[in-house]
Amino acid sequence: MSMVEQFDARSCVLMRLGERRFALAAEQIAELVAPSRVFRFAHRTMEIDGVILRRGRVVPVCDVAERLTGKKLTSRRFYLVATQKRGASLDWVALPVSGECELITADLTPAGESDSPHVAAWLSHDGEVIEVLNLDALTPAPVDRATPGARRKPGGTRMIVPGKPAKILLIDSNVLFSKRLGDALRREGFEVTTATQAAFALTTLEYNAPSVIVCATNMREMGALEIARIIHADPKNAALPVIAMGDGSQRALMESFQAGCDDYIDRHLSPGVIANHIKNIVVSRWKGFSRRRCWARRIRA
Amino acid sequence: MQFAAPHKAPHARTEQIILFRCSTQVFAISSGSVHEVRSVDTLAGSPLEINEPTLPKVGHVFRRGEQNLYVVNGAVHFGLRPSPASLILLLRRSRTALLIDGIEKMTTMTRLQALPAAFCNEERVWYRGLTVLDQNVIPVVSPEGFLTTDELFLLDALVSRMGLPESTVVSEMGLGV
Repeated sequence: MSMVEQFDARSCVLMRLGERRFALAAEQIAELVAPSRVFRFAHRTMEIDGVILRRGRVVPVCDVAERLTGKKLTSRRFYLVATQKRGASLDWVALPVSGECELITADLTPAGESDSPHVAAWLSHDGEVIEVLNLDALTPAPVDRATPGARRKPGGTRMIVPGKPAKILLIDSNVLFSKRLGDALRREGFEVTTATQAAFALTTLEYNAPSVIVCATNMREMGALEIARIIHADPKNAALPVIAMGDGSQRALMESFQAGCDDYIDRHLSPGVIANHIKNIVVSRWKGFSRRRCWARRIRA
Repeated sequence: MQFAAPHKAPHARTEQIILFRCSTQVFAISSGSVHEVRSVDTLAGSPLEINEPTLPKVGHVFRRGEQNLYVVNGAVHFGLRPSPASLILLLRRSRTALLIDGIEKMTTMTRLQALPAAFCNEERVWYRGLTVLDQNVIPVVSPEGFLTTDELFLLDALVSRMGLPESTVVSEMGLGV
């Protein structure tokens, strides 16, 4: 039973991540602790920063700020230690927060189907609408507890499947342009999801995996250059192509390829031309061509 | 009439571990799973070089009795910056020899904590768990986690294609643990 189905008014802990506030159900919170030493050791779970020691217990530190706000926390003041029930066991996780937390009681509005999985509910407080977080969707968990070594295959579920429309995630802050390009892509037979913020788009990767990401370079918080670096640094998304849309200058083109984007398109071209170009890229990738493989062949030659 | 034996407080179970260094990080391994510690110099010249692009962590192989032992570079295995290694740990009941930078000390651990479930990738295979020593968290490596069965199969096939010369036979000498 979800948190919202059980009660209407709930105790929640408000936490601050940079300039934004988020909430967590109070019963999930174990304690708020002052910064302590973070121990780091070799591992491959990108979301985990390290571990802290609390009362002899090793607690993983999961920095959710970048995923929720698009920015890394530059100043950590506290760690909010939360608990997660996974099967019969109770796991602890420490979330770095940038300010003091506040315990409130508020009426919760259930999250809608269109909301991100990390949103469990919404609440209003001090004239601000705040996301109540679903911790399970934000923190990593073993794919299969029976086989601890089991890993998601890199890009395993994100390949382009013949016979099914390829999903395109279109990120552009210009809603009108997104709509025109989205329509052109749909005419080419693609399934299109649009987002105006790259940070939000990153959260959708987990539950609505696209085949290709098309992203503008001139976004305010995070553009194609940053998103390509983040996505390709994660082994499970390394095979996901990112296509940059820039202003057509040589500099933008060079920067895009240097950042690891798989292709570059001039955003000033007509939506029909851009959609056709994207189709060519998707088809060529489906046939097994990729820029990296091509370069590897050239280097070997 | 028989009286029950007086209750004895159970002894805390302890385990001898070796703290070793790979690149800049310290790891622990149960001393029971280390068969021998050897200097890199004692193997110089004899091991056969392996160049398998899909397994960059395995650089050399040598023959010990009936078995091929594969030398795994610890730093590369853990994704750390490679550094000049000086020692090799020959692991017991394993076909892995682990190349490490050095041994810090031998000590005893009294508690092995499970790796938190949030760690959900290869580290679950790499580590048996975590231990706390002198207010430091040290990962305790699993000797079976260095090479999977598939990797051993691939290496065996590669070595059989290359053919292992007699000069790669290494005798059982060195610093026994």
